[in-house]
Amino acid sequence: MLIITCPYCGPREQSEFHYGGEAHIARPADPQALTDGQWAEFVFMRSNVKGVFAERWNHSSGCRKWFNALRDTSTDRFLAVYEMGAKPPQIDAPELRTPAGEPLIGSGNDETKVMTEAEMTEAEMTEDLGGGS
Amino acid sequence: MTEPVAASPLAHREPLTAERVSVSETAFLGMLSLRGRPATIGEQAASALGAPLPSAVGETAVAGNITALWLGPDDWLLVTPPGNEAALGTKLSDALTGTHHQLTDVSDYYTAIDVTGAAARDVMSKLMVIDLHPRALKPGMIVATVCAKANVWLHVTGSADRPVLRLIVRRSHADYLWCLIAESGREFGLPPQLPVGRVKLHLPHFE
Repeated sequence: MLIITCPYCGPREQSEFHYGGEAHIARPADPQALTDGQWAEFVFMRSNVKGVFAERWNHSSGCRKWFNALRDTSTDRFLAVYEMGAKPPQIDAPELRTPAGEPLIGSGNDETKVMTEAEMTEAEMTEDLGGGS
Repeated sequence: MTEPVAASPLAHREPLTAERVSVSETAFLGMLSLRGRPATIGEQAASALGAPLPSAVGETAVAGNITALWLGPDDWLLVTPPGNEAALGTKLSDALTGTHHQLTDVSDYYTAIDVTGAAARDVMSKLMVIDLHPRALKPGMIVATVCAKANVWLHVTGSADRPVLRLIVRRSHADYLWCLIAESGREFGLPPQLPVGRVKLHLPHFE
């Protein structure tokens, strides 16, 4: 169970909240001037980071207020909550991305996925033997 | 001509009573929704109500027969006895003239289910996630939360030993919650509920 701390009500269960997507996305001042591509960029494209992510939440079953939060997307740990319209607070200590300390991009298992030359030769040989039997 | 008739959403239910818990409906309570910034409306509202509006989570304020419940930083529910809401609304509206606020009579939207007695917390904790222990939820507190997937405002009065848990619920959710509470209270001695008239009971395994 994920506990989210509402800035107005305190810690509550996640099921009382609704997610509102990425925070701090400014609506274009003059939408008419945008190309379709630029409009699609504003409507659909989000940053999808692995790590600290600024996002919006609504305490829909409690005080019914919107607020912003900084969450580490790889550990689901909430680092800060702050009011709508406020700037995200500075997070001092860099958080561990996962308990295993995985890198920012990818699954983090690249070392085991990339085969050495010797391993590849061995795999080919095994395949050859398998095909022959 | 047909005259409008006040009908309680739980008119087809009989109050249920056991030794340590009882469940009943308090229908037709007057309720007003008041919204506005505390800095803008606080003073005028306090003078009209006779008590300052509660300002933090869980707080309530009682002034005469009016109870003000904190629902959010700019959101209050004022509860009064049945029939009193129009007079209170007029009084508040006059006091708040010229300020940026919203005052709406929501008496018809909600009804109240009272779960009373020593075992009331045990009955309700089967349906709610929040901590109902008196160390966390003291008499005189309000909490907006979820009860069996329905949004409720839980107002606690009475004493720590014998609390009155008042659930203020949407009238369309009232029967759903009543049936779940009645079912939850069976192990604490509540009698099986019997339908009044021909209204079917919405229970998963009714005996």
